[in-house]
Amino acid sequence: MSKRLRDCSPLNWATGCAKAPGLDRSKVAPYYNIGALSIVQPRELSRVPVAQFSGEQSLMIHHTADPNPDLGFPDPHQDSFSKNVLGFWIYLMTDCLIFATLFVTYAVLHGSTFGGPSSKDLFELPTAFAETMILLCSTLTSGLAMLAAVKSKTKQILIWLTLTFLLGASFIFIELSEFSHFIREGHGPQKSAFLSSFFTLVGTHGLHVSVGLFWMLVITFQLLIAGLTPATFRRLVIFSMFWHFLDLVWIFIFTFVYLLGVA
Amino acid sequence: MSHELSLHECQKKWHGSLKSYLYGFFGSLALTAITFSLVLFEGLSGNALIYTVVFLALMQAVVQLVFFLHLGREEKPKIESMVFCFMILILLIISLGSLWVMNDLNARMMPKMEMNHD
Repeated sequence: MSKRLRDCSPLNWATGCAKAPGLDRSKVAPYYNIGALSIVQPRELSRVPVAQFSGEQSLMIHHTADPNPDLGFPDPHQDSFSKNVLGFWIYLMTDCLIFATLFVTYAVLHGSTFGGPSSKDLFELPTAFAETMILLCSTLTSGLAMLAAVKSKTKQILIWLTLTFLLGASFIFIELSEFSHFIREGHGPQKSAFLSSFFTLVGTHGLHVSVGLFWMLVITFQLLIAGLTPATFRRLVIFSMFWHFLDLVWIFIFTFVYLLGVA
Repeated sequence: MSHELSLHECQKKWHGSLKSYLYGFFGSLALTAITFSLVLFEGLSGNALIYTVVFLALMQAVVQLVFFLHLGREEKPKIESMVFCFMILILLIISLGSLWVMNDLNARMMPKMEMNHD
């Protein structure tokens, strides 16, 4: 609790009362806090010497505006860096809910193949394994880019970002070739409810990765033009959170869609 | 009150380290390898396989949350962790609730009305 809050708090007042002779502190509570006014129950109040509550001290207890506001309150979320990170974290949590609903839709519609192919006929584990490894490696390289950013080594950041970009692009390439393979075979999203939900779930993840690729390009140009500033560092931190989050979602895609679809 | 930090202060606020990234990477690598080999070589079957694979996925999610996303490492008050817990609560309500309702609907379907178009 901040110092300012503590000063206004009725608890403080109650402690003040406890110093009066002949007053049991535990008997002062219960009290009511109505706005800035704290009211002790009359039963206890009558036992307190009148001098305790008259004049200057009483005025001091009831004031609302703190003449010495505590500006050193150590809330870590007061600077713009922490606010951005917290805000982006909240966005990621809402994104998590979007993916959760898509996963549930997939789980519900998984068996509704409408005479078309089921997940057992379609999915190939080697493709899923390659995609998983590529995304895992790219999440590591984005982390290494962050470590370079902490040491202010702009050249290293650019190298790791380029690697992350290439890995992400190859992930998207594999995913798109898998999609186009399905569609060419006549197993497009309009074939069955199962395929609709599959394309929606995996496609939404792929869309996020594509947005991440575009984002990486923007950050690279900003780093080349402006160098490493508080603003570009903040964007790098937020981008790395986004990229790690996409890898986290992919764990569940390869588990629920590919592995359990084939098993 | 919002104020800009210097680059150095921002860098200090970030929690990652090489060690945590390597832990996260090799942990995820091992868990991925185990899950894929379980399914490929059919080490388990039926429900046991499903439960093991889902459990391993959750383990890997925790590993990545802790070592990559630094969940729970922020300073007090831990608002990010609180937001995360709230998200998990909503997620469980939405997903388990939907699965319950939809499975119940399926179970109540008359046998002839099943969506079977073979």
